[in-house]
Amino acid sequence: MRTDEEDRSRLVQVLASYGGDPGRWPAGDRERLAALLERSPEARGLQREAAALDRLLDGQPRAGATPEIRAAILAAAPAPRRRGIGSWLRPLVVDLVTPVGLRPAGAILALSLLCGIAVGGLLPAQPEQAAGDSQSNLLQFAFMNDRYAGY
Amino acid sequence: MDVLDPDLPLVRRAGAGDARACAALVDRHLDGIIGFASRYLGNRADAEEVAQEVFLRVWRHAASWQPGQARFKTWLYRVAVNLCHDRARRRPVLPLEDAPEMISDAPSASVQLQRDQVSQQVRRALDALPERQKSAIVLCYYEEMDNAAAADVMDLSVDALESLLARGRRRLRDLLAAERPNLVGDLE
Repeated sequence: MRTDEEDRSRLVQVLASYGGDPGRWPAGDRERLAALLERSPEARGLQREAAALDRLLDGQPRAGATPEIRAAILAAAPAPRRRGIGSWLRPLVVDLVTPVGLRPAGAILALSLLCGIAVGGLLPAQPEQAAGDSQSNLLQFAFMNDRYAGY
Repeated sequence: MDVLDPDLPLVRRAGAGDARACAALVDRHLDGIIGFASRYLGNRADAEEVAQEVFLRVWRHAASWQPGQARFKTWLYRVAVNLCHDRARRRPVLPLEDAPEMISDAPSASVQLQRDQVSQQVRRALDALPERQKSAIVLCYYEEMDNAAAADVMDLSVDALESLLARGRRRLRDLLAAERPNLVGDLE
């Protein structure tokens, strides 16, 4: 609970900094100081003094934005980025990996990929036999129609 | 921080060249930047040049914008404040008596003349303030930025900002009272 003296002291600070219009005062002070103004003629006198300077300051013209300056500023705004291949792939990847994006197409594609890997893994791998076959084929070619074989 | 920054999605989209996001960023902030710069520098042409430079930097940095250090709006106004400081340092400050006279044949010419002269007087008093005091007053008083946001822009504590504001207003009052005795009545 603040005393009248504390409120008066704060009113003097607020008037000195923000002027006489309560609309410009800090929101945290407004209600308390408005109550002080209501009950204190001296506080109202202080407010009138501050308002005299406000009246002079309020005569300063303020320029606003014109359509021309707005257009000039927007003309210099960044151009849209060109859509490279990454921008096309990104949504697809996002669709595949995000829970919301697990839509039928993505799920089917992922399932197909898994099936392919599984089938490939189940097939017997015979690299030695394949290598042997190709070696015997080469030998057969080497001795085929060899006109000097009898010598 | 990025969760609390309402501009962040727009900045990211602008960095990717999204024209709608660029337009939305401009519509959110251009008026404020021109308002700040025009109040700081005192004329529209300079303010528009500052705004263009501010947004050029936005376009340049949007694609690589790293959230976490400051809100986008804070960064935007920091750039504007610095550009205004640089621009103001490069131009001479005219003495008060060099203020141009306003000439008009309209019936209310004398009233208008007096109003214009007061406005120029205040303009020159603002220009005579140290740059940080002027920035604080323009951000908080004219642009009605809340004190925490303005303190962020100026990289100050709120207490330090309040002190700048108070010194700035006191200096304005002294300048106006000294240079134009007929304004003293308005100030009392």
